[in-house]
Amino acid sequence: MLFNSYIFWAFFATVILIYWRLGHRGQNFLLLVASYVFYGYWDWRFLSLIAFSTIVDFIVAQKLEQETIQSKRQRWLLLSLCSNLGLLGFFKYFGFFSKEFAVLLESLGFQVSMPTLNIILPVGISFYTFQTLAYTIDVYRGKTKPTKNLLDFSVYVSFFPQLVAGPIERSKDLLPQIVNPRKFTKGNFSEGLYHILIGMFKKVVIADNMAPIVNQVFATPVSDLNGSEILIGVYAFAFQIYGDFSGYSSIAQGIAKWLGINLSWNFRMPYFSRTPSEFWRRWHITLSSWLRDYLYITLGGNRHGVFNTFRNLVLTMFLGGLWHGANWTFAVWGLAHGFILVVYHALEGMTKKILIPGLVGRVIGAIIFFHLVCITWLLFRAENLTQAVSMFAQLFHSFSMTDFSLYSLGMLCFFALPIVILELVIERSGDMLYVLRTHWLVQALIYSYFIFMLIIFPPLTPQVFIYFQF
Amino acid sequence: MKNLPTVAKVLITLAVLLFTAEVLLRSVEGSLSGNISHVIEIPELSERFDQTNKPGLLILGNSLTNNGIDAPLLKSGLEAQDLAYSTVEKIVPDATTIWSWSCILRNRIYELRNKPNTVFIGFAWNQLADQSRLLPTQLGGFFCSYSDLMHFTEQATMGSAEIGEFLTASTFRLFTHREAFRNKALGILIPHYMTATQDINRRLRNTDNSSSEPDKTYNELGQVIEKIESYNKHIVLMAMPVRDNSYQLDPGLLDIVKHKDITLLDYRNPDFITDNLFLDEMHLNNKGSTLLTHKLAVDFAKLRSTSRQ
Repeated sequence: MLFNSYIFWAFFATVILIYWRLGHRGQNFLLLVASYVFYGYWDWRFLSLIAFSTIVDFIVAQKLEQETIQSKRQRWLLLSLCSNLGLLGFFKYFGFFSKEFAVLLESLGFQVSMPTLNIILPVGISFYTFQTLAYTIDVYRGKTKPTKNLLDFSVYVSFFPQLVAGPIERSKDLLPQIVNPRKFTKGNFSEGLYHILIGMFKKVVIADNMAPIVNQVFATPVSDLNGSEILIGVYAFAFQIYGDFSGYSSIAQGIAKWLGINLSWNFRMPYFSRTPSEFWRRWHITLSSWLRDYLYITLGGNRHGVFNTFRNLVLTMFLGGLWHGANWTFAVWGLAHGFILVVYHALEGMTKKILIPGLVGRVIGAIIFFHLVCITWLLFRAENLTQAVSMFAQLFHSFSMTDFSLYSLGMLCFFALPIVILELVIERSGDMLYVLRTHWLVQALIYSYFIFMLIIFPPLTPQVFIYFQF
Repeated sequence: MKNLPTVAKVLITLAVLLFTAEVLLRSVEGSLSGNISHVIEIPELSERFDQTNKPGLLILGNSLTNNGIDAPLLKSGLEAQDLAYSTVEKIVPDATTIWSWSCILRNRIYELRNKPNTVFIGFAWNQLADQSRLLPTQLGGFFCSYSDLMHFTEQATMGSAEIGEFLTASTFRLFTHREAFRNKALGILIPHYMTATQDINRRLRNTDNSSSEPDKTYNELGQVIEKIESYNKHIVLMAMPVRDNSYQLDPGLLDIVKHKDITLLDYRNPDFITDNLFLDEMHLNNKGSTLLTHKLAVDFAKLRSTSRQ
């Protein structure tokens, strides 16, 4: 059930109509049923995985709370880690690693016949396993109190607005909102409406209209492309993935808001970043902070000298890349970002002042860093590393504007430029909900633009959300 | 209005804007494109059969038939062959297939007092098969009624997305005409929009074609044939010529033609239609249309005389 589908909105209308007529326990029960229906609509068999994760982590959290002996607590935590990461590893990485292992053995001269399983990747598995893992780790660390109510905890794991593509919520933020009664307010409605409209616009108008251009560029043999076509194709992908993922997060925020629940911001205008650290504080924020808190800091963070800090950064980003999918392109994409972070921190350590001050400096810095991010997007989108490398090399050849690059640039400006301008205004205001503070006529104008664009300029072919595959 | 909360003011403004746009659009939609203007005149065209009690002939199809058959020329050609049809009308909206044609017949033709005696249906490729493209916006917005939706869900694979699109298009003209707006606006604003879009669509089509094609069925066509024959009228299928991307007649279609004793005129590759008679890869030019229309008049007259004997 996709957020940009009729069936989802029919489903959501039914849920919300019943939801606000129920008491608190009834609401939670309805949320659980709705979440399981939402997830089961893809493939009901995978509901067992969510139920399994829920039950294991519920029990583990209770045991962690009761147990005082450290070694026993560690064993309980290990059970949670193994079961969640085991599920993730089996469904997401088994095929990839068994294939790569076979290739390695064959290159060493062994004749191998590895078991092949046609494993279907359960949608959103990377998101909800990370969310439940965060819960047990937080309980282990004493940062959160476990809930004694299985219904509440089940809703926390499976809450449908953010179940399949995040934001990855921490228990300290989401669980209290599930445990405590909720109120529907006028503010919730208008904020939810804003999130939903801007999210739909980003997904349907920007991302899905960029998709045919991106697909065309990445499906064409590299030798048939010139530099301008590749560059504009990568720009188009930058806006496709941003529109797709931030759009999804925004719709999730809006839907949750209408259910009386606040979800975390997952994006804060990332393409205005000037540094890699800033970028990761603005892009997929809930994953970045998860990786920081549960991986980078666990590895030692920046506590054991420069070399270990850099090693931890690269390792965290490498694993973060691999989280996106079982493919070397994602792993190398993560590594590339790791190295960018290392180089940035090294330069920062040496010169202290590597950013140009002032507005002009800010703009130049953002443009330079945006291009650096775009180069890494080549790795992310390419079918394989060979294609990514060839496209990167071709980027600097024959940079004349072709009919296709002019068309793509025109489409990019028509669909993406207005949101860049709007986000620039929001960025300058320093208030993510700045639109809601403007005069009602300005709001009406912005919303009309979103709605008319949604009606008149939906894509030629509707696209699924990119992040569902992760 | 002054005391209303901001969100209510915003929503009311939005509703007013949408309503105004919808009303404005409904009043000028005929000028959006030649095709939409033709769609709007379908009720009037079909009512012409009722203006007389004499025999009528309906030509159904899409742009292939629109460019391929000249209605006034056919009428005079048939008269020259001693076949007098007082009304010869062409209903040939762009990009339509059996699904749109059956809706047009159900909603505009079957209810006439004086139904056309003969219905020609021009087609190419799989346009008569149940597997032909089912375009919910086009069906909901232009040709079908809400009650047809039930028929579609029984006959074809129509998911929730298609049903939603059908219902939205049935209700909102802004939505129905979005493709026309899109093409017009982007055609003006974006350099090389039409050629680039055609390239992208061609690539998509090639990707689709590379996957194995399902077996074709002809349930909808079968129902159309039965309905027309139940009025003692008769139906003629015309396989239209195309220059590129030539096609074979599906054995399933040939079966139904044989089984139901239907006339199929095969104009896929006639000797007199040469490449220079096409405007583009599939549409005939005026000269091509004249030649094909003459041939059709002669062939149909022959058929009629044979059937009389």
